[in-house]
Amino acid sequence: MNIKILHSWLLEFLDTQATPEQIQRYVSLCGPSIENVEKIKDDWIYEIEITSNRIDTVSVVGIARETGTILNRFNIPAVFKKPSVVSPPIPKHSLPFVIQDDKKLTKRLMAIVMDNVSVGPSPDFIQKRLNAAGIRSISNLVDITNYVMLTIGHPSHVFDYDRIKTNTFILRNAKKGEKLTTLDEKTYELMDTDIIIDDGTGRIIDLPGIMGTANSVVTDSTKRIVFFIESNNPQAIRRSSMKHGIRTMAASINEKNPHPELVKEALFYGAALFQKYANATAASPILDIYPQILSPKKIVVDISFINKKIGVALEKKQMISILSDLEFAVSQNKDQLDITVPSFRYFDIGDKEDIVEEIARIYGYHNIPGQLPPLTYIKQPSDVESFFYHQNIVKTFFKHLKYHEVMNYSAYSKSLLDSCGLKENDHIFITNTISEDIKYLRISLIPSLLKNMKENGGFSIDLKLFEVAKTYIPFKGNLPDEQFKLALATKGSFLYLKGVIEALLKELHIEKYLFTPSSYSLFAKGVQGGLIIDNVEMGVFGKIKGSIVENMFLDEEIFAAELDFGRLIKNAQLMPSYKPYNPYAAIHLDLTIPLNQPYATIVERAKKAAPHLVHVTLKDTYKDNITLHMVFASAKRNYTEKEALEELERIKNQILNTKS
Amino acid sequence: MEIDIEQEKKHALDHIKSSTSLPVLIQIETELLGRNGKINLLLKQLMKIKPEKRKLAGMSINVMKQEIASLIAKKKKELTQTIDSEKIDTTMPGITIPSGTLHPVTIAITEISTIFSKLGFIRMSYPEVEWEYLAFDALNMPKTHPARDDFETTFVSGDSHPKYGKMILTPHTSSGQIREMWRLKKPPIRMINIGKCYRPNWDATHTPMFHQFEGLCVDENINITHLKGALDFFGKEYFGEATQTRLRPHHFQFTEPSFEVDISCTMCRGSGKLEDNSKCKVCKSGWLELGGTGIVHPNVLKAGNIDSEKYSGWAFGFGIERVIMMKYGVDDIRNYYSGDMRFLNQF
Repeated sequence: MNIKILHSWLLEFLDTQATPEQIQRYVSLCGPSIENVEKIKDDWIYEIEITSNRIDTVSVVGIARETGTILNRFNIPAVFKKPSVVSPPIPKHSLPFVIQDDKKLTKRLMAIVMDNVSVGPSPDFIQKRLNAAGIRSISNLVDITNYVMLTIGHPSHVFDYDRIKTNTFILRNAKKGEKLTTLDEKTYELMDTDIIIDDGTGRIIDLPGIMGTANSVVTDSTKRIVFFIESNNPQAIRRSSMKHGIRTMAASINEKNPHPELVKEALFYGAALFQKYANATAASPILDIYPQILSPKKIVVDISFINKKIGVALEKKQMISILSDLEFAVSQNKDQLDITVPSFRYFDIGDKEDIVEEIARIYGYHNIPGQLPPLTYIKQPSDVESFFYHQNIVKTFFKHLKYHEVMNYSAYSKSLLDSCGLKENDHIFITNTISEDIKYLRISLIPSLLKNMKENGGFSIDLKLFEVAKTYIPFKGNLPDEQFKLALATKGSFLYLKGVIEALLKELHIEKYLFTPSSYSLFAKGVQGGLIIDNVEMGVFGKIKGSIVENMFLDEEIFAAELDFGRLIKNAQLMPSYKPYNPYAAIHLDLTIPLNQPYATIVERAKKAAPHLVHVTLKDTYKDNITLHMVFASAKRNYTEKEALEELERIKNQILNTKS
Repeated sequence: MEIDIEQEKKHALDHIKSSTSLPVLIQIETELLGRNGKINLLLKQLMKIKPEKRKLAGMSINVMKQEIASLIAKKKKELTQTIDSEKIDTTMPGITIPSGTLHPVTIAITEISTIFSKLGFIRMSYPEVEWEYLAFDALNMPKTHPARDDFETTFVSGDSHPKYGKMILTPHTSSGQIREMWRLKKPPIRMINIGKCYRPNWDATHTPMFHQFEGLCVDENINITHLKGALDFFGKEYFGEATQTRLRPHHFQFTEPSFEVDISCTMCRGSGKLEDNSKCKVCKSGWLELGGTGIVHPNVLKAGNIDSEKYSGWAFGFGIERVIMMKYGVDDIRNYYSGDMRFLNQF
């Protein structure tokens, strides 16, 4: 989260001559990141990013403490001035007031009743500071609670004492379906995980730690108040605030677990402000429910450990000075430091590495030199190496074949899988998806490519797409089987697509393969085929079937392929297998015959009939006839035209006299 | 026999005169004057002519040979000049050779893995659907950490594992750290893991799927200096020699200390100001955030079954879309996965 504070406000707790630019530059290097400094009139606003572990810096006091420590390391004098807080005076006559938290839903609760308040606008400086922080000034009573939060770093709340007729505050879990109206007049239906305050009659008077309610908030006619601060369960705050979408600054801070010790500082600081700026007088003793006081945390760390982790030898004196400035108590013990962690760092500092970080960052990461890690050889598994190597080759190959690479989301919608006739049950799905468009993890890449083809229809006439991505096949009792697939989608024809696949096989120097009929559900029954290598189906290709064309409103026939990319690449070779060329003359002849049986059968029969037929290609097709280009050769001598013509005649007879 | 030399000569000279290009003329020259050319053929036929006519015929053939040779020489000169004097409009468009495109993420992945391979880092690939344990617990993320809740983590429908918890989509590539430690069993480790990551965010600057590259280096005596050195190397290799790198304190559960890495802005060269002295719109005061990094938390090494007393390491995880944006200015991340050709056909 980011906070905005005024330079002049920071100086209330810090004596320094440093310029805002210096503060931005140096604090960002060693502490919280000051993302922006903006000049307004005679002042500056800092915008500061607060990381979730350093909720102690969400306040002006916290930033002043960091800034003081850091500036001194850059030889800029700076003295941190801690706010002084004192307990409000105990009144002679107390107003009745009861708080109950029997289930220990909060870690600490402090409150005080105050009387004789006068409601009005806040003093100028409070309004200015709040406005700069992005918080609207409402009245002195409300403003003071926000001012306390920004100064000390703990959210606080003020109730109208007289609007809570029972004078009773009972912390409890909400009942499912109970309703609550927040002070901004929005009504929420509660869950049983929400924690609320009940006035003892069942009436809900607060959503503590997140936002107050309309029925208990102070108004212009408020006379008596309850100033109330509780240390909440951070997970409960996070859950309720996210579920209901109430993302107040209070919730953002409370969900990051400020230390309960801070409650007292905030309450005393705030009570003093109510006395000063709302003429309030204490009307009850301080109520403090604090069932479990956390004992201070201690860490022992070797000097040598710190230096080993940083990579630079620092002096012990330097380390102690840094830690003391950050309010850690340090005592030396030979080559060790015995460290007591300040309460406001209790949840953030846990072990020796955290101490290393504190010393290293204040010493300055910019003062630590860089060097390359020592060189060492790690064997990359050869299948992994081959996969990445060939993936590059294949992608580049398709690029040069006029294909465009797309990357789609790994999931698609129910409507898309329905359109493609896939079964919902075959998919793993996202249980908390943010969009129905990306709910089902893909078991095929083709549906997404069809969607791409459809959506790009207007922009490109001859669109060819490819994608290499994983599919996620459910696997009982384990993670899904993640398989890399290569998918293609194109207009054109079945034989064009087949040609592309053959060219790919040639590019990968895969020489032994077969095409067989296949039965993949996305393709038209009679216009598809499977690629077989070593008796294993490596993939399918074909024409997208009619029902999908209809369901997806595709305006043209689309041909697609999906290959098992990982397994395909296992068959790839860097070089094709070498054969010595035939030095003898070969005879080239053409033969035109009717296509009276499958092409492969014709070729097979031709080869059987003519032992010197070494090569056949399809030269032309015309109506029901095909023209074959044939090469005849002998491995031992120049072959003659006469011999070739004799073989050609045998082939012709063989084909004309047979049928499939 | 008789040879009509005049007829032959006329035929040959016409042929030469009508040739329109140098290659054709050279072909004719070979046909006429070559070893098996017309002239030699005629000379061979002299033997068959009556002896009294032979001499005259021989002389005529020689005259014909000279005429042909001189005409060819003349024609050659003419045609050479024609080639050299040709003039075309170079602004006419070339004949289009169509080509497809690679996805920008593919281009960046190649670039990045090449850079780290120079330092001996091997590229690995790990599951995108992962157990909670590997994505969180093993990375020192307590059960109560907000990043683990429904709003920041994508849960999927597969059955839970008795030991490793629920099935999720990896919100970062860091689960690969544990998988690589498990695979190698002991250091040294030098890994780049590049993969798809998923977080439930979909707005102008976030897509629910994105890519990260994760670096992991574990060895004896690895410290902050080695992290600085490696990041500086990457910054200079990827963004250019003039690039400066800096570390700032940050917080991540899997590392301690944790840093955010900045590189000097590629637009304003780290000055924060453009040439006209106006404020740079790309960076924050001269620096651009690259991503998160740090010294591997001992609890992470322990989860990877690595002796955290003996070994230490660093790790980082950066967004690929982000480095592409920083280096090439390719903005609006939503285009990356839309399949929109108006965007993709530029690469």
